[in-house]
Amino acid sequence: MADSSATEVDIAGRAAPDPGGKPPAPATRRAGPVARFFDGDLWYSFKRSPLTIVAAVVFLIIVIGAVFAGLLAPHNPLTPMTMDARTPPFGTSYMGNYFILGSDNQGRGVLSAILYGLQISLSVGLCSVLFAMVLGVGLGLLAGYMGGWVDALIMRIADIQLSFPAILIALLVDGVTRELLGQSQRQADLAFWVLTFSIGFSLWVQYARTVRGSTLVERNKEYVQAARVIGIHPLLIMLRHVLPNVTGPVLVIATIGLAIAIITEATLSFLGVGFPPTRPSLGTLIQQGQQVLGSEWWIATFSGLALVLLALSVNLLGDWLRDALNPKLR
Amino acid sequence: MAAFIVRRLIQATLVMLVVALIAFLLFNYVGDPINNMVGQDTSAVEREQLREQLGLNDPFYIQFGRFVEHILEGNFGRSYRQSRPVEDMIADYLPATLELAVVSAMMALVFGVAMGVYTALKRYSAFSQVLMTVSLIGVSLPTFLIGIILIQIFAVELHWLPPQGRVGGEDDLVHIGWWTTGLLSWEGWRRIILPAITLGLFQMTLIMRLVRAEMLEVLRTDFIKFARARGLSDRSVHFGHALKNTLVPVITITGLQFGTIIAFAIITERVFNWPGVGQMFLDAVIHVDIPVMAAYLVLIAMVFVVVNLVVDILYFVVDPRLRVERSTTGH
Amino acid sequence: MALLEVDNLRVEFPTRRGTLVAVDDVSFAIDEGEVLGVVGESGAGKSLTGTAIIGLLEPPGRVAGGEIRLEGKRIDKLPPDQMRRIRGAKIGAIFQDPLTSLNPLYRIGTQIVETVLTHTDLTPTKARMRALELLKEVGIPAAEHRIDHYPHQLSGGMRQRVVIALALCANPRLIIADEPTTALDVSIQAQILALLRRLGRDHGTAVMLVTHDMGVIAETAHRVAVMYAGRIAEIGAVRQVVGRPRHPYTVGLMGSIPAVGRDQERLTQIDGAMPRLTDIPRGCAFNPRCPHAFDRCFADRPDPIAMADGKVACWRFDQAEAAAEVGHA
Repeated sequence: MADSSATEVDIAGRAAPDPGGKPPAPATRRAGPVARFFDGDLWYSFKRSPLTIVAAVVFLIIVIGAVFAGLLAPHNPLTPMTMDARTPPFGTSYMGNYFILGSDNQGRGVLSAILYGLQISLSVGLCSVLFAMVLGVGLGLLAGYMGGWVDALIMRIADIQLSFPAILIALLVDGVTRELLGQSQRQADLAFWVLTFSIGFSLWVQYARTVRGSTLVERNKEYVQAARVIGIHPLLIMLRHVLPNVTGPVLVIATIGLAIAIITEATLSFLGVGFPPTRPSLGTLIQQGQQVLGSEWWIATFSGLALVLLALSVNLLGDWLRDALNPKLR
Repeated sequence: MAAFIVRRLIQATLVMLVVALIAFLLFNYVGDPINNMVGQDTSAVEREQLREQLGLNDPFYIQFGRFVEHILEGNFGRSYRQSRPVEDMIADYLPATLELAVVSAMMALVFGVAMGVYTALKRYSAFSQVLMTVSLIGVSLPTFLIGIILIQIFAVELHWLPPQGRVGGEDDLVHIGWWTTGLLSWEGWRRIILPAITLGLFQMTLIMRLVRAEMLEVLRTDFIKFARARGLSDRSVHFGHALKNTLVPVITITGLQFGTIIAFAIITERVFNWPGVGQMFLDAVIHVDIPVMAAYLVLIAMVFVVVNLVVDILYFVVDPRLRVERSTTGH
Repeated sequence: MALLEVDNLRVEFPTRRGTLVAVDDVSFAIDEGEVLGVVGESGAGKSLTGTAIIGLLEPPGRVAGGEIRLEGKRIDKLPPDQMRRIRGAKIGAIFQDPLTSLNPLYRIGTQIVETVLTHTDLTPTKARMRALELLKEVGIPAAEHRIDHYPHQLSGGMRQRVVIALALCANPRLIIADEPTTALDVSIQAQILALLRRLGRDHGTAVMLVTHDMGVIAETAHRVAVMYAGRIAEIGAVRQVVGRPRHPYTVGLMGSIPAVGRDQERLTQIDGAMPRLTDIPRGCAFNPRCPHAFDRCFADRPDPIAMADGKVACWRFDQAEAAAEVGHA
């Protein structure tokens, strides 16, 4: 059980094909989710893993850089000046502006563009993970509680969707949404919601499976019947009892899902179906930088590096979390 | 066994019907088929006539039935953008994608299993630790970035391999019926290496981690302990007994991952300018070419269903417990 | 010289919170054709003793002290490859659960032939004939037919017979049987035990029978060792240990088996549970549950004390006290 559940979380989201469909719930953890969650073992394993600490620090630096991009960025990448264009790292442009990581062909400072890009990556990532979580937990609870054809329908859809990779679902949803909203609409704000929706929609299945498994266990317990007697909707009561049990697995899925969402956003933007080129997303930066890799190597290199550092640190944290919550795996 | 296969076939048909329904909804309600067939100056009356002619005013199920019928005949409609039959486009692009997918799946399987077995058996060796860490980096590297890096190193800097495209010239492609293959020429192989690595890297790390986890699990079982107690050699225990028992999950994942590979081919094809269905689909998404999108969806579902059936049949070959008994005592 | 001699065996598990001693100072011997029962609760270290003898302790577990000698030669320090040649060839092993001991993906014939080929120079054809012989020997009907079956096609009892056949492939001198009948029906149990006894009689094979079931021991073994918390509490002839147990723990264990002339009412059950390896009390490990514990039991750990017909690790049997106690009883 321990290892098969690990496999499921391991490949969470990326078309995770889990034949058994077992929820990766470790032991049943009851009550006081936060307090219990950060119990001794979790901190112990954190302190003992230097790689995890490094990942946490890197992630923290990136988050700070992204959140305070407006304050920290030396230049505003949204109002570039052509005269600043193509300055190499540690170089000064014709305008006399200094660029630590150089500038691109629009005159945007690469460092500033990356900071704003990280902001996009993180916000799209977090929003889509949140969306997937709410959708997945809700549907999982519903499926587990209702059973019967509702359960069958939801889980069948989950199975089918699971066989289609996240990127493909996101592309399809992206294409359809843009058609429905009118093709010309490519403003950055809309792109944000389209991306969040399409990425989030492609990631809900894992949560649903986990929560459904846990709900099935709780469904027949007496307190659920009791809740009905005192007039509280059983679904509400179950939410309160199921959630503590799935906090661990859901957090693991969410962490790994965050990495997948970030990578998917960058990929979609790279492919030209994400953010418009005027908005400095890491994917579009890399795409533009790739075309001039021979001369202005710094654009793609630094933005690629930022993307990898972000994804890697999140993945390392997710890996650690999974192992820490599943001690049997070692 | 026959009953099982039949049940699976019915399930597969159901999946295909659901996907066809989604494709149909896309086709009919997201894009307006009329708008895409006629010019701006067509009058409302003419449009209505056309609607009637095309059967767009028929009840839903009749339209859907017709849609499925067309798919079965291999008729996917016309591309809005290229205004030619989608099935012709697929015939043009599909061989390139399938060759790329198969080569990279094979690569991922061979190296993934080898590395997974190694890291499970030499769990605490330095090289295993390195492999596990590198595999995590592999998962964190977006496919397109891997492609860019590989092109930069092996094509631009070292000039060992060509950076883009499936062929150098027409001579490199061999036509076998409607199928075109680049794998019969040296140049074709040179060109498939980098994209195949790019595409297969993620699956390789996935298979490696899976094989490792499964091996560790199986090595803990009683029958492995008993095999050791029988005095069998390590080689026989590890490869004859342990590895064979990890095959069922590995087959499952590899099978399912084949669908993923085809989807991730979209990105790889873009980076390497590989003329496959992925590029076709991406163009369709960018330009909202609904018939092409719908056809691609059905195509992917079909590949998935076929692969799943093959996987199911492979189970029977590997695991005797699944075979239906005719003789016997037992329980 | 006994066939197998185990002297002062100690098995340790290093863990995050210090080293656990799972088997401590265990000594016994088994003669040719003899069935030695090893009995105790789960966690008493009886299975680990068997595992240590065949050299299959799972790391980080390790033999930390003592000697194991087979036919007079030490086998506990052998390099892995030499130890592998002894396993299966000189020492066969049978594990708890016949349902999981066989690889589900191979025919039973294939598994037997594989083992035979590993330990002999027979040709594959001859090896298959040998496999048939073995299956017949362990009492599998229609062996010619069964040999091509997969494990899941056989019943539990049949599978355990196959497991025994596998252990017998190379005519081993010793068989270590770890709970060979626990997973089986009672009627099948008796058949399997009879089979094990017959092996000793017909081939002079020694058997170390590990079980928690005193009834199985009483029925099958010649001598019996009672283990408690990693140590031997009492060892001796079955008649002696079952009929006139000396160690308070053995006395408690015998509660379920009728014994003539004992004060049954007071001793039919043992209160409490065996301590975990992490918190074995000072002195005698049994002292928290012992109705006779006195000062010394809480201070010093008793070593097995040789009696006329066995050994007992209990201070009540030390020297003068022993004499008094025996006289008293």
